[in-house]
Amino acid sequence: MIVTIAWRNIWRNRRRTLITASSIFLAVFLALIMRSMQIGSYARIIDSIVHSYTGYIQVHKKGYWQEKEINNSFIFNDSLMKRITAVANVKSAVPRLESFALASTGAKTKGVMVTGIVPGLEEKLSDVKKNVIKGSYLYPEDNGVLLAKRIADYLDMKVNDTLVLISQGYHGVSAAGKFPVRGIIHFSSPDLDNTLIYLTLKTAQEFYSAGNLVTSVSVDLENKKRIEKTAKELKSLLNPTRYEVMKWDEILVEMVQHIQADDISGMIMLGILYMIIGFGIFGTVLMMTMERIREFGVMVSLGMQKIKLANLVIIESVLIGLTGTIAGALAAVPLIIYYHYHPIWLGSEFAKSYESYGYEAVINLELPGLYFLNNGLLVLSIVMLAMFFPLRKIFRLNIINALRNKL
Amino acid sequence: MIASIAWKNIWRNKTRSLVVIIATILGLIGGTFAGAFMFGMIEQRLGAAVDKEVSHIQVHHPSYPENNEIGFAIVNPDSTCRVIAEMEGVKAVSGRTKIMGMIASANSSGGVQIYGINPEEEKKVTSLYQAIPDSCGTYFKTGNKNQIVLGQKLAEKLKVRVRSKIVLRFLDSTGNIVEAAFKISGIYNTYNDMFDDKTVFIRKSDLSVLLGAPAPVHEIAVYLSEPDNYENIQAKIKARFPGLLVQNWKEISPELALIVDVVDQMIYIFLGIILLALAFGIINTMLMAVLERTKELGMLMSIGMNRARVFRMIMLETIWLTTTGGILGMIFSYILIAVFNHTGIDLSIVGRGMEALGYESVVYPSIDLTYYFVLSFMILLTGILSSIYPARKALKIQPAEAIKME
Repeated sequence: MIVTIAWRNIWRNRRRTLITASSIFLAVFLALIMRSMQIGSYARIIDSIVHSYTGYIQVHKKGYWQEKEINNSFIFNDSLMKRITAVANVKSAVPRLESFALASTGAKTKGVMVTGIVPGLEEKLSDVKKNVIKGSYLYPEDNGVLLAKRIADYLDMKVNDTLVLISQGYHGVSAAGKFPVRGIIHFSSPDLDNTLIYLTLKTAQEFYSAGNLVTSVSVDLENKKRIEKTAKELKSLLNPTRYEVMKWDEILVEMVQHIQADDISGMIMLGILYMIIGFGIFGTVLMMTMERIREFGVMVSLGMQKIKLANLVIIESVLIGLTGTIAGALAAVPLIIYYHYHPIWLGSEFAKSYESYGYEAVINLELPGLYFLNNGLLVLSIVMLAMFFPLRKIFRLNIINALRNKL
Repeated sequence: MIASIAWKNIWRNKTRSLVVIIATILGLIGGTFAGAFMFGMIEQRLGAAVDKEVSHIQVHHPSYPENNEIGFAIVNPDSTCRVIAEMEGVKAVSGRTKIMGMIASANSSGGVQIYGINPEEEKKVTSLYQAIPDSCGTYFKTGNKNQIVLGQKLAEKLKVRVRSKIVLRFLDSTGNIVEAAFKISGIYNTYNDMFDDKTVFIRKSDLSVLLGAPAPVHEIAVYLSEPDNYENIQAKIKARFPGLLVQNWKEISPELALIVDVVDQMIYIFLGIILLALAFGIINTMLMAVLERTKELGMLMSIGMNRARVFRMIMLETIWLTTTGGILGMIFSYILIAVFNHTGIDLSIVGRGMEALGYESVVYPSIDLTYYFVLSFMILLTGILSSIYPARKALKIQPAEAIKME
């Protein structure tokens, strides 16, 4: 009953309601598109690095993260493997040996990150095999090398060419070797595409004179959402004086912070927009109250309880708010769904700028989710905040003055 | 006359007008400040990049940028440098050797871009020597041989301090491995991790001894006394040395130049959105003002005020309302930006992420004066556009019926 009256009331002044609702519509529409772009792009950035390289949890020798060098490595044997994979929610454990080297063809030289992997095991965790675009993947016992595409382009190398690697091995032994190029891999993250080369773990251990040492064990999870609990269990399982257990957000700390900074700046922009909308709603509510003060007076003098009147006014505002919000959300959904399945690739100049920061030049939209609800609730709470003034007026209503149309 | 009536009309309903004005003020402060913040950040980055890394103009062998081979060096580097240095508008030049190499300490190793420089020349071209804090040594001590200057980030990675020894390893033009020990003379911090992590400086003379031949010059960095005139000077150098590739900083770091444009556009788009949202509030308020004054406006018309005047009055009311908020908003923004430009905004909580991308963690917001001109124009436009609808509503009033209203 009261809702019907409220609904009719807001359409008594159609123009005002439409203007207010459309300002809410605009804000909600823009906010949802913007949040969708931000959240979607963050997810893609994280995905492009976590899936193709780091994995969700890594185990290192204690102190490795402070000093990422080959001397901070540890022995990885079957018993350690069994202990890690025995933890609940752990899908697989993948050992790696990572270190720096100079890759050279003679005339040209480039600094690269050498990663020794176990073919057959590595594919369980990362997309490296899927990312091979030319040549073939490494076979077990292979003595060849996989090159990231940008390194291959830079060094002008093709499959079956010979690459020279120069580095410093375990305990300062000097390391140098020639390796045939087996394949070229392409990473979507420009950073990875510019720095990674793969050897088999065994070849890498020989190259660095590192016996059966590894620098990290990447852990893949059954259920990504339970990462906190699994990390905790791994920590209690492994001797903390010898090992460190790190989650992906600790490993990619700079990326996570940059995402946070970007996220905050986006929210500040939305905050400014919502504040203006808030004032707009406040202005409308203010006017609605002022011009209806006599009507309120009549209703109260006829015996309507002030609390019911207050309810009516609240419902009216919420209805205007909801109309704008729902319309905004409905308009945003088809756009978001379309661009989620057709991500926007940025033009060549933008792409350069993006990639210079190590990010893929693509804008990805996140499908509607929790952020829809959050924005809706935010608009409703702004409406509620704007209600404060008219409610005060209603509860302080002096019938005699109100009937004379005075405040 | 009408202007002053319009002004007085605004203040007949103080609360309502104030709501609109305050919304405008806050919206503009928010938008302008956010813009100044981004601009400040980018300008700092740009300034640092030009001063400490790129310089204004660089000269290379035409094949070098695509193909950083040690063999693609500039022929007759000394005479080329001398000729460029004597050109009008050029303050200083520095010829650099650039080699990819590997650096190793007892603890760790990493890949680096080695710059072989003459410290005296280089000081005049880049201010990197000023980026060495007092506690972190000096920019090449005179006399001592085989000294190296490297970045804070790299020093942390290698776990080395001033006077520590490190080993550099690189390939010479015939593909032989050259290896030599260097002593750290200074550690700089440009707040750009991507640069600090990968760039080391050694003396060109030391490099010549190691190579057993004069060190090749791959890059001539040119610092201008008239930085704004870079295009003319670039053209002059090009004309003098047609066989060399001459690029200005915008061409060398297109992503930096681009980001300025992108942010510029973003700020105006954002302000456009803010003003659009404000326009809804303004239209709503003015519409109300017209509707509740139907009787009064009808009266004015029936005693002889013509429609053009009524239209003008409503329009002026809207414009006064918008510009009052607009002017106050701009004044407050200006003051706020001036204050924070002085004190700076410390972002060190998220600082590591910022520095990793090359931005300093203390940001000094600043914005061009032209911005305020454009903004004034945008505000005026908003006022005019949002006045049309309510003013048209006022025109449609039928005086005969309007004065009968209660």
